[in-house]
Amino acid sequence: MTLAPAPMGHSKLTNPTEEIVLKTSRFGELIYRTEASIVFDEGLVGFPSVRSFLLVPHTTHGFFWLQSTEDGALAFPVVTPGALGVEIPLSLSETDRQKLALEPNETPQRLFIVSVSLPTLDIRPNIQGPVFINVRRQRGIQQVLSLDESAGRKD
Amino acid sequence: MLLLSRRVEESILVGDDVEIKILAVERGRVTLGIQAPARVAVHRREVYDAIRTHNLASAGTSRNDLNDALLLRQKTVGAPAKIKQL
Repeated sequence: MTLAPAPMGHSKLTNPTEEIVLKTSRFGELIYRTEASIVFDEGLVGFPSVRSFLLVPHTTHGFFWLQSTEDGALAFPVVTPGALGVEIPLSLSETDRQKLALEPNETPQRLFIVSVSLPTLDIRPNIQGPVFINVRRQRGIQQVLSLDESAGRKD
Repeated sequence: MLLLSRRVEESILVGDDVEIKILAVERGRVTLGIQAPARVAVHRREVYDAIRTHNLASAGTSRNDLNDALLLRQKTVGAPAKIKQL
């Protein structure tokens, strides 16, 4: 699990079952198959060009890391709503469902990206930008929840 | 930056399929009607920026930071109080 001096990340490979060694700054070397990577076609907000991630479990139940497969130094801690004791209603537009390649009655995994405020060590979940993952098809999106009482529709 | 002056009920087109119409102007507040294909994401700037800022902060989190925060959370009575929403 020690870091080698080689550049982090890996070159683009196409065989979905091929094992790849990814050098990361947080986890050392991770070995995975390309079929295990989760594709975010639009990236994450502020990171539009980073599109492929692994979901790496943290030691605490309900917490994970979204580890970029394109940049070994880039990873986002995420948490399930259940582990936070927060329940959010599922609010996905038809466009979102298409991006996730969801079947009509299929429910995606919901996650919040979290940050840790220093030095207070507050865990701050990003409720406004929830992440949805279709674990069957390995596709993900980050939503931007911007509608509030002053926004509406008039068709 | 392109500057345009519009009256109520007038609109501008962005490309072929995005139309932004001025619906009302009242006390310094403008109400816009936006007609765009579903694939075009429309967001309030400040909301998008807040999520982006949070993502940037999250990307700087180390495993030790998260472990320390979770340890503190475990030790704290009424743990959810340490979790603050964005």
